[in-house]
Amino acid sequence: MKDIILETKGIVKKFGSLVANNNISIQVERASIHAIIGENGAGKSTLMNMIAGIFKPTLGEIYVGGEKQVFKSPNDAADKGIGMVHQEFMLYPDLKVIDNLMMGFEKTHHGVFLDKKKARIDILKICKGYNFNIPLDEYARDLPVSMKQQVEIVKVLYKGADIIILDEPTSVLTPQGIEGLFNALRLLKSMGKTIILITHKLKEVMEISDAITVLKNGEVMGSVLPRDVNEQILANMMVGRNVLFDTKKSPKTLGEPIFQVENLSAHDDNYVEKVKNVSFDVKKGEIVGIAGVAGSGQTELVECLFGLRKASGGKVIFNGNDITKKSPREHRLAKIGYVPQDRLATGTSVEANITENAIMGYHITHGFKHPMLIDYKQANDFAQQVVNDFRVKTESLKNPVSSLSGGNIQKLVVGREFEQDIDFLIIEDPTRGIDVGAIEFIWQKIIDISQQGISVLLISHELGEVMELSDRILVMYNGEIVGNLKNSDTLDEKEVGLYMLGGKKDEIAQ
Amino acid sequence: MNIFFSLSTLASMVRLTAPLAFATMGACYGHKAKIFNIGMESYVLISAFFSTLGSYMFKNPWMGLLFGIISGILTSAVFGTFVLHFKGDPFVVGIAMNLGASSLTSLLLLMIFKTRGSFSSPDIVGFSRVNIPFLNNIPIVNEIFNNHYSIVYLAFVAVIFSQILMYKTPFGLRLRGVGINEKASESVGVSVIKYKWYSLILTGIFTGMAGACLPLCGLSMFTENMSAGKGFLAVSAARIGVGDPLKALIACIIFSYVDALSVSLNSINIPSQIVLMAPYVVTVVVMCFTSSDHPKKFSFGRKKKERVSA
Repeated sequence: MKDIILETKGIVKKFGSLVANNNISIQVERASIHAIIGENGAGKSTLMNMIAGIFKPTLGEIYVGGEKQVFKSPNDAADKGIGMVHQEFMLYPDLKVIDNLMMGFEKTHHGVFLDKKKARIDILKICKGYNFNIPLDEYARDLPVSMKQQVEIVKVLYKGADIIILDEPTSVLTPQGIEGLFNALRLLKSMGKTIILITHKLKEVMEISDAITVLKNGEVMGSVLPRDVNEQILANMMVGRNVLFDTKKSPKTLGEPIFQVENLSAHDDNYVEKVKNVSFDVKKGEIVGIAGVAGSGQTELVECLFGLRKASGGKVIFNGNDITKKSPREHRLAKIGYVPQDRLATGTSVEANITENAIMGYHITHGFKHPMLIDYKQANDFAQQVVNDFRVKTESLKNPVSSLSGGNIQKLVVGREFEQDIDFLIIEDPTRGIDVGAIEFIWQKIIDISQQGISVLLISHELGEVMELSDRILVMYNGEIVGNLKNSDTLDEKEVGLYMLGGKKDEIAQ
Repeated sequence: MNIFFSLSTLASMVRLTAPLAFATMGACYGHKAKIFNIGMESYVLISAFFSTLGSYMFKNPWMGLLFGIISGILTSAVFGTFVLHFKGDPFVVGIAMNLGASSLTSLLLLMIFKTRGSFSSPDIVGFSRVNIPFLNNIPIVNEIFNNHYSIVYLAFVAVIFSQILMYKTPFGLRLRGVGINEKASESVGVSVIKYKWYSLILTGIFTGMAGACLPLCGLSMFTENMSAGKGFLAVSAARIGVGDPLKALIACIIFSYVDALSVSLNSINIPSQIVLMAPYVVTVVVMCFTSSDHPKKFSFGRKKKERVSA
C-alpha cells in the first residue's frame, strides 16, 4: 500500500481557448522525489501553479493527504503544507534575507510590531535542522544564485511545507551547485519531506528521482520509475519522436585565426572591472565556447566584442583590422553576426512583426532598400526564407513577434543572423529556456554553419551546451580567462566546473 | 550672514516644514508601494479648500483638519480608481487632476463663498500656538522650536509615526515588499492591489493634513492655487529620500530652509523672482547629487559587491 500524500484527479486548465492542462491525474508518494518532465509549454508549470494555489483549475480535484482541497490563494496551499520554489526567484532584492523570509508570515509583539528575534530563532532552527547556511542580514541582491535558491527553500520550510515543489531548480546552477542542491534534497527526503521536481534535464531526473511523470501538450504521457527507463526513452516520450542528443560532427580542418582579442579590459555600468586583460583567438571554422558562472564577465566581454560597450583597454582584431572602437553596425558590415542573450530585450522588437524583425540589423546593409524606401517584397521573401529554413511556427509574417513562443522567437533570431553572409558569429545562450526539439535544431545549425568555414564564439551558461558544441572551451572566472581546454570526449564536466569556480587555473591561459 | 542663520529664519523654517513634511510622508508611502503619484499637488489644494470650509462651518480648526483628511482620501480614491482599476497612465491622470483641482477649487470658491481669488473670514479659525513650558528657559532652542501652531508639532509626530509604521510593523514590510517585487508578494499571499490602496489612503490622509496647514496656520484664508507646488516638492523630497521618512524629512527641511530664506531675503535688495526660484533650483541640485543611478557620485543607492557563486 503506497502512502499517497498528493493526488490530482482529472485536472483541466484553460486559458481562454488554450488548453494548458488536459485531464491530468498524478499521484505523489510521501517522502519521495517525484520528477515532472516535459518540453517547454507542456504544462508542467501550470500544473504546479495549481497545486501551489496560484492558479485555480478549470476542472478536476486536488487531494492532499486524502482530503479534497480547494485553494483560493497560495496561503491556502501553504496551510496544507505545500510550498513552491519558483524558477524565477520570488525574492526582494532590496530587503535583507530575514525580511524576505518573514514576508507574509510575520511574527509580532503585541500584534503590532515585527518580532525579528523570534523569526530569527525559528529560521536558524530550520537552517540547522536541514543543514542550510544562509546569511540572514545580507541584502538578497548580494547573494550568489545558489544561495538565493537556498533562501527560497528555507522560505518554503519556514512556512511549514511538507511538499516542496521546485521549478527548474538546476537551470541556474553549476555542476557543483547542482550536487549541493541534490544533497540537500536527499536530506529533506530522508527527513520525511516530499519533493516535486520540475525539469527538462534528463540526466538529473535519472540521478535523483524516485518516480517520473512525463507531460506533453498538457497531457500525461506516462508515469514511470527510473529503473524502468533510460534518458533516450524519456526524451522520446517528451518529444513524441526520436531525439538525437549527439550532434553530428564531422572532422574539419581549422584555418588561420581570424578573430583576435588582445588584453581586453572593460567595466560594467557601475564602474566595476568585469573583464580583466582577456586574450584569445578564434580560428576559421572553429567553435570556441566560453563557459563560466553567470556574472563572471561574459556579458561585458560580449558587449565589448560587438561594440555595444566601450573597452577600457586592449584590442579586438578581425581579419587583420582593429575593430575595437567600431559601432555594432560597422561590426555587421564587417560580416560579424550576433545572437544576443536576451531575445526579448535585445534580440527582437516584440511589437514589430516578423518581417521587420527578420531584416533588423541588416535593413541597410543588404539591400532591403530602394534608395529611400524598404523593399517589402524582398524583405518578405527573406523573412519567408528564414521562417522556412528555421521552422519558425507562425501563421503570418505580419504577426508581431510577441505572438510567438520563446523557442520560435529564438529560431527567428538565430535564422536572421545565420542566413546572412557572415564570417564570424557571436552567439550568447542560444537555447536558454527553449524546449528539447528546438535545442536539437539550433545545435545542429551551429555545427552546420561551422562546417561551412564560419567561426563561432559561443557564450553559454549551460555547461552541457558548451561541451557539446565547442572545439575549444575557454573558462571565465572573475573577469579572467582561467582555462583554455581542448574539447574531447574525455573532458570531464566536473573538471570544467572546477575552473568555473576559480579552483583551478592554467599557468598560461593562452 | 545674519539673515542666513537668524532665529526668525530658522523658526519659519520649522513652521514651513510642517505642510511639506505631511505631504512628503504621503509621498513616501506612494514611493515605497511604487505608485508614481504626480497628482499629489491636487490632493493638497483640494484638502486646503475643504479644511477652510470645515473650519468655517464649525469654527474649529480640528474640524478643518478632519475635512482636509476626508477630502484627501477621496481625492486619492479618484486617482486610485483611474490608475489601479482602469489602468490609466499615472502621469496623465496626475496631470489631469492637478489642472482639474485648480479649476475645481476656483469653482467651489465661487459657488460656496461667492467670491473669486481668495476668501477670508474671521469664522475660519486657525490652529492656536502651543507653548511648551520647559523650552522657555533654553534661549536659542526656545526661539526656534517653541510657540508654533499645534499642527506643526503634529507634523514631526507624523514623521516618526511613518518611520515606525514603515520599518517596524508587518504592514510596513508588506507595503515595501509590494513596491519591490509584486510577483513575490502574490506568491506569499500578500495582495498587491490591497496594499497599493492602503498606500493611497495613507497618502490621502497625510496630504489632507498638509492641505489643512495652509489656510489654518495664521492666515485664516483660502487663496486660489495656494498649494503653490507643495505637492510637487513633496514628491521630489520622497524620491530624494528613496521613500524613507527620515531621509525625506531632511530634504523637506532643506526646501523649507530655502523657502524661509527667500522670505527673509525679500527684505534686502534682491529681485523677489530670483528668491522665489530658489527652492526649485535647490530641488534640481539636490536631485543631481543624490541620483542613485549615477555611478561615481554620492548616492543613497546600492553598492554592488563582487561575489562568486559556490
